[in-house]
Amino acid sequence: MGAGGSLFVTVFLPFLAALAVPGLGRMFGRRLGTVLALVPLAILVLHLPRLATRVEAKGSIPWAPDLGLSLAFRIDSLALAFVLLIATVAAAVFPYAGAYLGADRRFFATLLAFMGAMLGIVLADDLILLFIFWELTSVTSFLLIAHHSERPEARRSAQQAFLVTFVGGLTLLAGALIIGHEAGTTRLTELPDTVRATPAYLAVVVCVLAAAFTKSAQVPFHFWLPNAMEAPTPVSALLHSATMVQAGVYLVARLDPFLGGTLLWTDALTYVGCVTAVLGGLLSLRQYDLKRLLAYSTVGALGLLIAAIGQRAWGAFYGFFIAHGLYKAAMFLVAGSLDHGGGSRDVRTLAGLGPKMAVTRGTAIAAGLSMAALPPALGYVGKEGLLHAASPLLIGATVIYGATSLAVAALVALRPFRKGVPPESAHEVAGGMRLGAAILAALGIALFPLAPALGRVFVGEPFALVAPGGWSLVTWAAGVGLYALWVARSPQGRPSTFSMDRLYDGVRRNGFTLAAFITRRVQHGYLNGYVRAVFGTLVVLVAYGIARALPTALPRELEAPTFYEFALAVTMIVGAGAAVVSASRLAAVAALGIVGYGVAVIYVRFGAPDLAMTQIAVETLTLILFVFTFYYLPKPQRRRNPGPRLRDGIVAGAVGVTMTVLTFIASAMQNDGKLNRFFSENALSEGKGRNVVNVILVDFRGFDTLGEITVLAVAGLGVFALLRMPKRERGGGPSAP
Amino acid sequence: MARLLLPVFLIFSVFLLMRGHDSPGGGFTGGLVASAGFVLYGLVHGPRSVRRALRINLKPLIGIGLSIGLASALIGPLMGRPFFSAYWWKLPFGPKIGTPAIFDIGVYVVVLAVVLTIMLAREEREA
Repeated sequence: MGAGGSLFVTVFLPFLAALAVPGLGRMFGRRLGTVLALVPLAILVLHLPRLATRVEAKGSIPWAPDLGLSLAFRIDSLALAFVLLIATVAAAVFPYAGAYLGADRRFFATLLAFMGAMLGIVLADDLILLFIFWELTSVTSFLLIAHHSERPEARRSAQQAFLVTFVGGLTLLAGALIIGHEAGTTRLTELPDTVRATPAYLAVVVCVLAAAFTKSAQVPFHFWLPNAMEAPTPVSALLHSATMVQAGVYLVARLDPFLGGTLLWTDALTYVGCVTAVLGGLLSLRQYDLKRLLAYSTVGALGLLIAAIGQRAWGAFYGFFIAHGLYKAAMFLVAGSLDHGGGSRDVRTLAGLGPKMAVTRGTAIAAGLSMAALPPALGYVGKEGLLHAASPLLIGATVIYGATSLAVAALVALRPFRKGVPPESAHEVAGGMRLGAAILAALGIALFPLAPALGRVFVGEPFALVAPGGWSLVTWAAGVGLYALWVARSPQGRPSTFSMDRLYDGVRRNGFTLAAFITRRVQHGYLNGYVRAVFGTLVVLVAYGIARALPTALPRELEAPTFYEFALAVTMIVGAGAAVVSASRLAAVAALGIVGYGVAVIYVRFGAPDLAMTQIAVETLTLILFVFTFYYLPKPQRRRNPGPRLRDGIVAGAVGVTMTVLTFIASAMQNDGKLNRFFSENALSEGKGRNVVNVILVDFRGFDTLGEITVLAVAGLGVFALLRMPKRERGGGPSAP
Repeated sequence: MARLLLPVFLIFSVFLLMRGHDSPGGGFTGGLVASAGFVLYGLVHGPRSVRRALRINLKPLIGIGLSIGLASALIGPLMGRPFFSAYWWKLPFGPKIGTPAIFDIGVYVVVLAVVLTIMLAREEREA
């Protein structure tokens, strides 16, 4: 493994740290955030040297060789850019979060898990592995957005973000499977170029782009991102500006060598990206809440990045990607600081905070320079790169977006600090909150002179530090104009006659109405109704299968039963009969017990001691459970009309007959015994055990058993939850007598 | 009387667990017998005493069992081999122990915890 080992450490260290959070929380208390920042810092230290030396490395562990699945990781310049950005932003956000939220163990564990999953996405070398980490980020993002779970808005936004991105993830899985089928492998470093030529190409592109566009909030899937601002500010800074939303961008960039170059790919990316950039930018100016301003701005930035990939403008892509990640995260942290120290996120009312929040102001200005694409900030390099692109569409989108970007930057960095009267309680925020944001903003400036070197590492040619071109001047001028317009018009409320958000709401509401309707019809509360429905369906389906098999399947020679077998059968039949006719529930239960124990004796008789022991134990426990439950029920009523009994009797009889015929047919079927022989012969040599049943359960078919105990655990928790639900009026009638 | 029987049940259940690989028994049966012992104890002394006797909370116990099972499967990847690879070590004092046996212990714990969760669920106090 060697060099690849560092990749495994990078991905799994955050998860291990997440497991250790409860203990670490107890040890470090309020300093938890700062201590946990060591994790991203360690990753940073691990990978920074790659900037100077060899970037590429790989490592893999076989997971299920028969399925072609491995735990495979790989780093190259694209992945490195993402890893460094993720680690840098995380290192700044963790101490901030510690000061903002205190030592919230649940929060930090989830945040660490998110970071691990994000790193997993960019370092994964296998598409299926990438998918798993992709959905993991959706899940952790859901938990983080809903952190203030007592707020209905937070819950709704988290649900919305999760639904949109999770469905996108499923299309990613579909795309990955198609690629795997066409290319013969799901290893990214082994994908051939030929996928482009196959007829499945369209399907693959649709799936991949659906996944990328939902995750990266492209039009028309952009509506979840502004709502995700319900999350605590550190979450917005890490997830919804610099990392998670960039996952879609990463996916597109990663697959471009294999899927790109065609008109479909290029046009889809360019058009969707540019539309998103323009829409995001313009919509941002209708906002007055600091975080929503930045959220829409992020939507636009993601659009530009997607379009840049479409145009294969890699220099511009890397430059803008790095700059945006740094300044946007810094801006979000500033917004959080203004909220915390200035008491509000409303840009219309914030004023006069300059003197009291000097550090935050300095940070905001530094980040704002980058955001407005003014030298000497890295953002300038990024935007210049975009403005020198070949496509007029991209240039146009960049001009428009750049103008709005400058306006938003001014709104966040200048407006709250202008001359005015601050609220009484205004104060500068704690050190942890200042430091992180300041470092991110400072990096935006410090990297400016290093831009050429960065370009050489990532793209092979240096980023040019050129003088501003004509388009830049246009952008700046337009930006100033937009800012002035905003100040003059002062937006009133949340926008839009047509809103994807409202469409989502409508779909969701109707979905729930439909679900409620169906549930009311199907879940009527009558237990014997449920049983009849299940058994009735079972009989119909099995009978159909039997009817089809009947002409060819003949029951084999039947042996005459021995005396003991006969006696056993009679006892069981008597027991079953007694269960049906007895008036007392307890007597019925006891009679059922006779049948159950009878089955156990059958197991013993035919040589299955494990089954017999399990059957006896389960039967005993079930009887005890029945007795406990029946204790609370009212006395059974005497039924006067025979109608319902007859109906139940018919269903029961049909089930019995069907299962008996099925058993005959099954035992008559030709069985070549290959499986039997394999297991009996290999149980001792391979499985090292003489109990074939057990060896099958825990060794040969161990994975199935793992699934079974998981189901068992969920069932147990489900029973617990059901029985502990608070008593309230239950719709529906009494259960079975 | 039940107080005396419970340890007997538990010892028998562990016996079933350990011999499962070569003779009838195993994790499922062992777990069931152990939970039957606790249920018997509970019938006589009341559900609260069962929780006291267990000393560990039930719901985390479910998680612990699952974790043991999963951990035994992850030993493979930790050594660079596929998921669920089986490893066996010979102990100095006789019996052999291996990842399938550890997995079986996980099964035992889950079965015990789930059955008891269901049987004790109707009492009022939180576990």
